[in-house]
Amino acid sequence: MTRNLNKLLSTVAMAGMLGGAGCLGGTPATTTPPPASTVTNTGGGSAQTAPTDTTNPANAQNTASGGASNTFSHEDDSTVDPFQVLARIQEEGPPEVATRMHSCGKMKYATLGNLLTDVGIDPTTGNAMTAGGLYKSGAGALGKPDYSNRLAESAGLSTAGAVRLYDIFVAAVPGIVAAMPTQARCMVAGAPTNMFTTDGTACTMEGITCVTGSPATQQQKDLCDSAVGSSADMVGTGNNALTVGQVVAVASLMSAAHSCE
Amino acid sequence: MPTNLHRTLVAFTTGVTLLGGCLGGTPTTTSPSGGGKQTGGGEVSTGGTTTGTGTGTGTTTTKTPVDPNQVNLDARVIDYGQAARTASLKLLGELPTADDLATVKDAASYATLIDKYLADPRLARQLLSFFQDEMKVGGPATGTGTKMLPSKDTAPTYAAELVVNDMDFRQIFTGTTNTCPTLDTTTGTFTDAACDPTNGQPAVGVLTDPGVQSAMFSNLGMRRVRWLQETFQCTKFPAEFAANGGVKEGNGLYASPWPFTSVTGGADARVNFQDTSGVICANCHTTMNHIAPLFANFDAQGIYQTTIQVVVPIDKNPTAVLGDWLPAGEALSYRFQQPAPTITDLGAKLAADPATAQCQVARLWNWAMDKGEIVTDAATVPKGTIDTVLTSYTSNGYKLKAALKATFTHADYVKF
Repeated sequence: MTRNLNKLLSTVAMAGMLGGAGCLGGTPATTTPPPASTVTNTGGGSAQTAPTDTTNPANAQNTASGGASNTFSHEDDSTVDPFQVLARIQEEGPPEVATRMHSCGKMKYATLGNLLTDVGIDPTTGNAMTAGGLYKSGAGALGKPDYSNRLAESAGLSTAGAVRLYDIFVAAVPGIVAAMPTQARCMVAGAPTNMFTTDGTACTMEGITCVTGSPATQQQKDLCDSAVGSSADMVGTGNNALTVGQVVAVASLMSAAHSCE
Repeated sequence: MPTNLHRTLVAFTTGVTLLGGCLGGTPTTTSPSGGGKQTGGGEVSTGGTTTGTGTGTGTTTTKTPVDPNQVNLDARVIDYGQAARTASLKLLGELPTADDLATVKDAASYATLIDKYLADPRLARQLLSFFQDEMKVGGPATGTGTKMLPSKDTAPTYAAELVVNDMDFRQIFTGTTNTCPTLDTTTGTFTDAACDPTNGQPAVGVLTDPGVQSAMFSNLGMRRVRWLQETFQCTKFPAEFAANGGVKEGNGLYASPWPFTSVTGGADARVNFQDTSGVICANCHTTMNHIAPLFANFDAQGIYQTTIQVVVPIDKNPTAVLGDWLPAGEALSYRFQQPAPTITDLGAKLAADPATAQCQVARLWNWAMDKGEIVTDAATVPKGTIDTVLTSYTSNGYKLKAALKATFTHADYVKF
């Protein structure tokens, strides 16, 4: 069972990289958090972080703009790469157009934790292979803000973040499916929702709506059903027993839906 | 098993690729409720219409230019379900309920849902997070005694409180009482509190916030000035430009409206802001140096002291004196010919500056539309895009909740 799960996780991670990461190149300059200096350094050192010791003679050749003793060069953090901006305009159109259309922003780290709670997963507990454990250990990859270094939460999903997101969802699927009928958020007029039909061979529209957070489409259901039918190998036991196809189906839906906030 | 794995891999990859329309470049256009095609820009290969005369004596071809950008805009469709999902994630930090989604049928029912979200206690924690990112500060107090650093949450919490309580948002520059509140993120309840002792310096919104002053402590207080500019004006320095386009100074163009000698300089200066041999320092520092001394008395812990606390980045790091920024007789100012002798005056100037209001609305817009950081990512927002939101803000007593409503119900927001 553990071997199966490991294989499944590896498979999904690789697939995630192939299927998802390739698209990430389209995201504009927001995918990579800028280094600390690009955000905050104003040309002087800091009592708290001291990015550059401008009083150290060893650094003198790099700190002088004009006179070596009384002028200072600032780190080259004042401009955004013009070629990046040009590429963005070529892809998205000018700001007058691009700003009127949604971009694909990364879901905030805290929001992802809330989302896991929403679908019945505790993001604060669990070992390294559980959804909670993967969430906790994935803070860096998932772009959690680092305010101590004056860094806001990253706006875009990195490749490592995308892979971690898929891993979390794959690990979470058994718990999500088991908890769904009791999740008040997913109930429709008080009626419980199930992810799959009684015989387990197809996804339900209500289940898809529950895990994606938006009204399900027939296209989503068709793809979900196709994934369910792709493998009957079992993973898990008891109430958490699912087929590989079912796990992949739900993880795929969630990964696709929640790669963008 | 290998066969099964292969099939699984193919199925998953297909699923991600086909379902994840939003994974493509940005921005995206999706069909209603998921999936969809990328129409974020680029060229349209079919560039016009062809008409023939049909008379048998020859044809005339007329090409009508097609603006690919307009094609992309026109390709969007209204999808209130998707809009409700992303609005819920931003305003509540959680997915919408199935029952909420079932209520959304049209513009009116969607607007009702947004009103419900704006009244939800979870809005407070989301706004705290938004303002933490905007101000790039956050986190609890650390250390003890002389090593104590104040809470970095007070400024973003104060901003969030102004929005949640539907107050004049300009108070982040002018508020004089209870500018260091706390927030119970579970209940969404704010508790008023004054900031730490300020040694006679009155509270001025977030401008005197100990957490901000501590986080932005630096040589000559320059980081504090830059924080002010980039956070609330949405542009980097230089912030001012001469009407005549500038004059040649040394190896470059001096484009500031201030007299070149209005900043400290010369061979005897501890820092020569009039240097022109590399870059023209005065292009930025004429503005910066007329502001920075206002924040010079805040120490590394963000506490206002009665003497200057920042140092000059030269040998032995001497404590700065006013002459390190400005020659004698120069008045502290927000901008050229806009004196601001105190932080209170500076706050009033910021609050009255139309660029400040536009900046705040633009940041709100970028958050809603999932754009990057307006300064560091150059994710600028043309005024034309946010005109209606800006009007909602300025014509409703500068209450940012009105701007939130206008943003999340905007015609562009509900299209994908």
